[in-house]
Amino acid sequence: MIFFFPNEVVAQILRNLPPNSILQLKLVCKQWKLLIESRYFVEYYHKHPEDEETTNNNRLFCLTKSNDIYEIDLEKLDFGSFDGMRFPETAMHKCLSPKHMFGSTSRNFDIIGSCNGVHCIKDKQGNVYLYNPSTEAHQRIPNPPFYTQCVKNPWKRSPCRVYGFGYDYRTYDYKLVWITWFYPTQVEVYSFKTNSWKTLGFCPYNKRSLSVINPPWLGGNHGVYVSNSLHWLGEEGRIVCFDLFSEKFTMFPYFDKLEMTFAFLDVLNGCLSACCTNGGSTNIDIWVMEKYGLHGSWTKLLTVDAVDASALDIKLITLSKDGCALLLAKLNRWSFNQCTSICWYDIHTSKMMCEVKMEIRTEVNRLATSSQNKLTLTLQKLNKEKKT
Amino acid sequence: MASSSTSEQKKKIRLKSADNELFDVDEDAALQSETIKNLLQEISGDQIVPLPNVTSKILAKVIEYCSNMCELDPIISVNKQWESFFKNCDQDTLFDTILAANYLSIKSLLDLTCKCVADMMKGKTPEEIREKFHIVNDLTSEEEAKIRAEISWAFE
Repeated sequence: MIFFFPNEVVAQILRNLPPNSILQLKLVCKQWKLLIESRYFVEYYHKHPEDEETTNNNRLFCLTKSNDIYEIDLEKLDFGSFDGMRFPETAMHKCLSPKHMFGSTSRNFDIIGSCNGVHCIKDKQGNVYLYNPSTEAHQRIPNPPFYTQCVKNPWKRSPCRVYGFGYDYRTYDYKLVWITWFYPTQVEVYSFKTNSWKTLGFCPYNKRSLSVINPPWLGGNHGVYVSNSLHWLGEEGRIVCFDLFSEKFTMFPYFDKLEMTFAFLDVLNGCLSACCTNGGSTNIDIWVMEKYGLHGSWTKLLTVDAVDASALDIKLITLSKDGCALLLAKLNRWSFNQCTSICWYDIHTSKMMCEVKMEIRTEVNRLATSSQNKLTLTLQKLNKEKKT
Repeated sequence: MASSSTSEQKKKIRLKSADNELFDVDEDAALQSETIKNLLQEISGDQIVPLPNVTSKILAKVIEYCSNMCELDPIISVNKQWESFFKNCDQDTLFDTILAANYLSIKSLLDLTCKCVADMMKGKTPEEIREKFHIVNDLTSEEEAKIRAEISWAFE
């Protein structure tokens, strides 16, 4: 009898196999190759009930003022006890310093994005690097061709940029999106696998033929990675979405809460989130899009009450395992978003429960959360075993 | 109390296989299939449930499995017996049972049989899997080369 099953049956069979053999099975036939590469399979494969935790933002990544990098395993944080909380030492991992890694003398590093265990870091000169703490592999990404050309303009000023970094599950590739504000605005995409840039040359425009993605001078931020796509805040409270597989832009429906004095996007336990400040008030409303892409599923999680004047911005870190508390970092917008404290908030009462102490002596400059995909983790582990 | 007499009066469902053989099955056993459950809601009481996608040979096995799942305790040991049955039966029976379990929507049977096929694949190269399951390789040599390059990248 010839083996021919519908896709859902093949998927159910392959689900029983370990991640290291899944990639190889793409060689069996076309049906299997297409199935394994499909978003349906990737999501199905990783949705084993016991694996649910791996889709959380389970790593926190801190860049300190003295340019040290710490990676904190949030799974090891004791969510149960809220007394005298601190990040346990076993959960903290000091990584190679960017200075040592990249030979850069820059002081102000910034995290563009963290995805699937790899961090994308930028220095003040605008050089961009990739770094994987678990393998200690790191490399510089060359500047994109359009941007390089722009820098050579007669005014000798580098044009403004907005970035986004993510992992494309369909092609198993890390991608960096680089948007340059020039005449016209250009989009370039870097693929880690091919180590090359592709100029897309387009960006969604409005009637005045200006890019709808907020430029940096209007608070444009790094792209937020959710569901194989990057998201930026655009004008008039719209979210601009870039699918890393199809490399196409789409727009989410208008969401009035985003049209506020200060609003920015974030990610919380795998869900697209928005932090919105009402004009004049220091309250920050935290909204979560419960079902990705479904406009009706925007839900208000809590309001962070009267953040002290020195910390107007926040960075969402994670929800406690019982879902009753939210861990967030307060950032000082007037001091390059330096982190002033990390606190637990009660979801139901919106009250601060306690501050989490960190065993880092200097101040934390940048924070990023990152989820780790089980397949990649296994591959890295196998690779380590192979080397030793 | 009156368990023996009630078991004799248990409601029976009449199923018809693809080759027109009739099977009288206990309602409990038949209702393990979501598909039969849905069909029963559509047709009235004493009608025959037609299953044109399942042969009598496979249907007999599926009914045996479903009755076992209803009667015996603990289920784990029953599952072990069935697992060893599917591991030792011929490939055609296994594959036909998978298709039947999928069509009849019997989750536990589909889980079990799919796991058996996955176990047969473990530790085998793509070529060996193709040979064992008679799968035709319809990838072009360029596509193959591309996948191989990708695999080596993933392991680096």
